[in-house]
Amino acid sequence: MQKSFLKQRKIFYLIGIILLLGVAYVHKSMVIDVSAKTHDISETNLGKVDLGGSISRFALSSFRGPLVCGLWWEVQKLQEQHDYKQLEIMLTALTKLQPHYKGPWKYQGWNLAYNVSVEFDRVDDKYLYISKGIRWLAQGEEINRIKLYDRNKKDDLVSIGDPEMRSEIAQYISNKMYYADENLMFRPLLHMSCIPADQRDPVTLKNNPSQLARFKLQYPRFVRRVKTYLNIPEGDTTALNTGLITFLTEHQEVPSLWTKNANGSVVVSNDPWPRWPNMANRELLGQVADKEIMQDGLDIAGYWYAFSTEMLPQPKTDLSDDITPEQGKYTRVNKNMHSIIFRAKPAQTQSRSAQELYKEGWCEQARAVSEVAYSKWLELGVQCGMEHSEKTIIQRALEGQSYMEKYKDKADAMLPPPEYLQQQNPKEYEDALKNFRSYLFTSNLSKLRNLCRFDYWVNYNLSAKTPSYNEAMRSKYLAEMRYSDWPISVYHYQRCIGLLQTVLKMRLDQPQEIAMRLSLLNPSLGTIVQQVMPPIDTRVSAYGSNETTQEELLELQDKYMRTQARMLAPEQLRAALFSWKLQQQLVKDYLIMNPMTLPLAALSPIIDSRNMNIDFMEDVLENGRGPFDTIIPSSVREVREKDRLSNRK
Amino acid sequence: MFSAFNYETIYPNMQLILEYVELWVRKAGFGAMIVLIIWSIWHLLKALLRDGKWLPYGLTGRLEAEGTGNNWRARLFWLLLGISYLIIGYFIVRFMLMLFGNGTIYDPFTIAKSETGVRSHLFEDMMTLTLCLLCILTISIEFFFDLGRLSFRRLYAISRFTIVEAVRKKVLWVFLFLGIVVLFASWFITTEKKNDQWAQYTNLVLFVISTIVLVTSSILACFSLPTDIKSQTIFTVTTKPVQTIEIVFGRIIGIVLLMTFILVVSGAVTIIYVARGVDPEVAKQIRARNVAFGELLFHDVSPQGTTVIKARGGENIGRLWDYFQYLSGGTGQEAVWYFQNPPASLLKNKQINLEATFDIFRTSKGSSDRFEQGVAVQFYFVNRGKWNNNFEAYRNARDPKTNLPYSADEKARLFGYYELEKPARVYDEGVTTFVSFPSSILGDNPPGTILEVHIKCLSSSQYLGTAKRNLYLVLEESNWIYNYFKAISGIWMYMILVVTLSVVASTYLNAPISLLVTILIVILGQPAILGYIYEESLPDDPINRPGGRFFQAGLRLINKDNMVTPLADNTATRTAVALDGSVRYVFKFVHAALPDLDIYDRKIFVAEGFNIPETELLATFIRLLLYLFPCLLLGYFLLHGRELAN
Repeated sequence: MQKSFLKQRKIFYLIGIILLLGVAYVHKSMVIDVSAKTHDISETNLGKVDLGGSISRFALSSFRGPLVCGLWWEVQKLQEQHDYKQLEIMLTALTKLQPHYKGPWKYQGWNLAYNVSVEFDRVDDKYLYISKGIRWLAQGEEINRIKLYDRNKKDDLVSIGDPEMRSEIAQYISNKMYYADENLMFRPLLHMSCIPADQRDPVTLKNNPSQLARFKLQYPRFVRRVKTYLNIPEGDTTALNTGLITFLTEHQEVPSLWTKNANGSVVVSNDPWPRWPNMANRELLGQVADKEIMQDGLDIAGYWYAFSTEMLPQPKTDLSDDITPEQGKYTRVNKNMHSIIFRAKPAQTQSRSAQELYKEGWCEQARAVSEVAYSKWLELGVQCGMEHSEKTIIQRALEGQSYMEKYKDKADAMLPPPEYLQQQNPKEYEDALKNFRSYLFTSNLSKLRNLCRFDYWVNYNLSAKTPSYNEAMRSKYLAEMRYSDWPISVYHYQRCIGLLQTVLKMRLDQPQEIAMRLSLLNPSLGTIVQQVMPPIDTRVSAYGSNETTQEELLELQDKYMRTQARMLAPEQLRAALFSWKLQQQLVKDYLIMNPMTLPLAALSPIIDSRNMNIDFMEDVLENGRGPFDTIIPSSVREVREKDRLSNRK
Repeated sequence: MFSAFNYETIYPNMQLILEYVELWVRKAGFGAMIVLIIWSIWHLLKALLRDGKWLPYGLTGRLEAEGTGNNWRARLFWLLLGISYLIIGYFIVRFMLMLFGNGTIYDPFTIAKSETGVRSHLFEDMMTLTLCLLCILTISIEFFFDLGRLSFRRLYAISRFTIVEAVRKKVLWVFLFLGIVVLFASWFITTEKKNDQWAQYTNLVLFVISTIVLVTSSILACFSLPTDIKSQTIFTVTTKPVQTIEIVFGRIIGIVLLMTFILVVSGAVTIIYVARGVDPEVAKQIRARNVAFGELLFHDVSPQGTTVIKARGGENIGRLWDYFQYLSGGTGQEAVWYFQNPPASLLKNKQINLEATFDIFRTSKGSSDRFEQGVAVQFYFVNRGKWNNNFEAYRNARDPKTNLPYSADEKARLFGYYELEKPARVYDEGVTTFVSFPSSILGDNPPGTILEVHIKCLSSSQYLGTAKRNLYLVLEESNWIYNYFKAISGIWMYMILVVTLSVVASTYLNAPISLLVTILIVILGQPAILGYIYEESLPDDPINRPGGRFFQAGLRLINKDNMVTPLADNTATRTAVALDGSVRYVFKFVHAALPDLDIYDRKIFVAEGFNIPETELLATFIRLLLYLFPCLLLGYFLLHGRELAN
């Protein structure tokens, strides 16, 4: 009796427990979870949830703080001792314990990529630690994409990342993979990381010449970069093939985007390198192995820059008011730089990519990239209110000027007209207020355009996407490639300069062009020349008058003049020596005939024949009048000349 | 795969153990003397004011139980006490004479170094040692008497009871944590650099095992006695003929046995896990090298053109971690390792293998090709007993029979000199340089042979970082599984220390406080903190540590003086200086009382593929026992002081 009562009581308790748990579960899922989601207070709101990390944090309770402190201490010590293998373990533990504190992710990402990587001698190790640093940062960025409840969204949650972390990833990729001192090495290694190991297997390629030929065709940019790195002469196919196989063998173990699964098929690695913002986008990743353009540091950085601007608030387009961006619940404002610089990064990276591709001789691809970059700049201009008609700009500048003259103190402090004016002279106040707004407009417009170098980049891309510029850059590349073959190099330089001259001049406006074309109906010597020349003005275009462009042009001119000087110097020297000898002979004959004029011989400006050597002649020719001297102001040329002389010293 | 062996810890070894024992006797004896003086004052006051019992029967009075007539134990105690007082009296007089006379003050903690064996104050040294031993013996005589009465049966019963109790407390669930390690260890392991896998795996699993074992054992040990006392179950034990010492020892032995079992199982599981986890190629390369280390000195060329030893060591390039000392490239500077009496096993092979790792500090970078080429380093080897610096004879030496130049082996045998034909290329960041040289250079390796390994950095504008243990001669290989368990024995010793400390603390304090005390001692025993305490215990050093200590620094803070400005000569300064001088002794005492926990950590040996010498483990165990002795004594007295034991 007693036993059965006890049994019944236990069953009753069990049913009670199950019922209470059931009620608690229903209450949790229907009330608590919904409330937590609406108020953004669940752990998932902080970012990606990691079960193991959460368990360890929960288990450690208040000991987590001292442990984290101890780990930081240990990390510092390990770095001092260059014990990087232990450092990685400690860092992993550290971020498992505080995954939503961005500091360790940011600091250690930079530390690995910039401080640790440079300690190594082998380029492979450098590359590995750079990639580790960037991957570390990317992992931190992914974990810290907070999720906020938004009832207007389809799936209720909106993901918001840290713009700075994303921008830093982009910056590290572009700096290290494209602009670092070791870029000659890192660029081909980045290609290798993007190509599955099967496709670049050195043994297969070595034993199968047709496959090697296909590989070279498929990855021409990689092949050329290896060739440049190994300094293989143009046209030496055997050396190139050998070099390529050696390179692929030596660096076979580079960190990769791909790995093989148990079935032997190629899949995306667990800790892939390189990284894109959305690694779940298999369609994009599927193209990486084949499209070389996607294997470039600047291209990958471009993705990250574009990604970093996604969560910025909409820019204020009314420039006659305060344009400081305001952070909302679902938006984030970057902190380290002016928002226009931040917003312009994707377009700027695209433009830089075009520039770099032109430098490397991928002219058609560069042209396509500059087309995209141009449209991105225009889009940015419209988006941020930087695009206005010339008439509007002039009118508002004049109004602003008027405000500046009348209310200088207020204008300097960016303040509106005094309040008392509203009572005393409402009309004047209204005009002043209008002028003040124009003043703000002008000031903001100028600031925005200058900060992101809007005009330079727009004009650059406008020029860079023209066929003439494309051809000019091709010639420049060829001239530089054949630098020791002077006549050919000079020929290409001249072609490049000639084509650039057309790009650097302003296009005629429509009436002028019609007038000129009408004049062609009456052929004359002048119009025949014009027929072969494109319809251009004599004035320098906006792109041509930019200081950066002018410096680039001067550099080009220097190279051209140097090459030309080297080519012409021997001939010129022979002629000069002949002329000198002739002059000497004439003086001698004259002196024999008329000894009274002997003292005048000493005054004659004759160069001593000992100074007349090949170096002297090269100097004379190099410092002669250049083809861009009419375009570039003398002040810029003088600065350049000073720099050149100081470098020579 | 295995690279740098950058360790700074000085592990105990049998050559230095006598030196350590002597120092321990002095320190422990000094502590015992203080205890004895305090106890004597207390005893006198007690006799005078309370009970009138002037004759002492041991520190706890337990010797009185042996009876008043013919009590030889008490008489021995009085004898020891009397002699100790006499010698203390002698030292007080001697100290006064030194203080007021012109004699130099004798530091009782300065011991003769084993290399020289010279004692500047032989008589005082002997007297000090005698006094220290007598003091230790006097205060621990009751403990020793009780030790003599120890019953192994009772000890076994208590230990067994402790184990059963611990198992009932579900202590074996710690294996669950081990399972978690097996599941999640891969989080921390990088798979890209295969060469790092072994080190990462072993470091991780050994760290986890030690954490599991130490945390569990300290909790178990801290809660064991206090729980018994709280629940009054200990009275069922103390009412039986059980000694206090048996309760303490029984607990310790029980917990140690249980945790040893856990440790062995964990070790076996993890070694299988690690061996299976690493890449098969890496698994094939796992090693446990026996190596011979030398003594490192730096040579330079004086302005007169002669070779001189650099007293301050190599160059300092300003790195925070001063483990490496640097050779300036392209100069006459040399680093020389001296191997005194090289092991005879080196003669087994024709070639002696040498391995070295370096740190490179570059003052010029150059292109990436430069990095790939490394830094040029010339190695040359000298048998000091044979080589007479006659390079001309060495280079022109020919076999008189054939008139052909001697082979390198023959030349090395004849002249005791060998140099590499071309400089070795060495690299940064733990990339090992392998060099071989003929074993014939040692000749028959008679006793007293000194082999010198000289290196010189040839690449100008580069600095080559060297350290004593980063160049070694490779002897035979040992079994790496055995080596792994030797590393685990380090954790085992650590565990014994923690268990003893916890049990001793729990004889007087309640469980949570005991646990906190144990944690505090373990934290203070960490190398970084212990190093700081040691630094604070050193005399003032205005060059390297300007500004003075706590009180002088406080004074500077108030006066807004910087660290190097001389303080005004006034009363405040003099007081601060005097107080700082006294604070040093507090740190000295704390340093002496704390355990050096770094010596039990042998992870680096396994991770870097070096065999752990058994003699070093033995020396470590001796040090552990020496440290535990005062702890056990303390536990013995504390438990006696409690009502339950009376």
